Amino acid sequence: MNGVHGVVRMELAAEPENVRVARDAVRRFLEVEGLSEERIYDVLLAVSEACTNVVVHAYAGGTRGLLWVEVGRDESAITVTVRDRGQGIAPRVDSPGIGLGLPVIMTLAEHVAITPFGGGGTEVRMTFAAAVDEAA
Amino acid sequence: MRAADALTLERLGAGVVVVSLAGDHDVSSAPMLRERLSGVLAERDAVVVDLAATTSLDSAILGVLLGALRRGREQGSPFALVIGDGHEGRVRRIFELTGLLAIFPVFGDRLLAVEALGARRR
Repeated sequence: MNGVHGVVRMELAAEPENVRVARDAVRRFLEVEGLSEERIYDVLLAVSEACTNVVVHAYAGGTRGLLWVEVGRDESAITVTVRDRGQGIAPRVDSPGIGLGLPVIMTLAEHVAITPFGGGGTEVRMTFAAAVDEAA
Repeated sequence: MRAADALTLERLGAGVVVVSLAGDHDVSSAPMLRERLSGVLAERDAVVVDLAATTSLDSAILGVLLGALRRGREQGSPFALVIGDGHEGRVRRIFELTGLLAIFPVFGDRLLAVEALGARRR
């Protein structure tokens, strides 16, 4: 996917402080792409939830793995992909948090695809409609 | 944490404490919020969490607020949120999306919240 302004790809340590780094970079990209504040907010919330899931769940026992975030747009949509090479998203009884991340993402995004990535990791691909009158 | 993304705590009269979140808050500030709320609840004060200056928050923060609400209820400590209409209603939006707006006691401004909780304590 290549919009007018290309694609942003990040490789971050899966640490709490980097959730904001991912959000801020995505925000800048979406501002440059001319999206409305309202649309930007929705995408950023979904990014925050997806990245937090990786930080909190993907890597076991305090090991710090990596988090990959990619954002791009075409004429009709913004696509954000969050990936990890962790332990997958099987339900766990000892899971911290209140489990609202995925439901929030699914409410905000037009389309969500969650697939295995690499050897046991997870890819979350979220698509958001870009309004017709938002600069392309 | 940047200075602009602050967590401040004010002890008012009548056993009411106001915890204010300014700026963006997420999993990186959730532990500190949890710790602060834990401390206030341990002292049996009434707690108002003021989100009027919050520019964004996500479910990591919601989880902390939910935990504090529950603990407040268990021990009989009043707990309420201030959610304004500022920042294009973004904070209100995530509470609505998750269905949690109906679960928390919510006030539109700090004064109303403090008065209500102060009154409940007597």
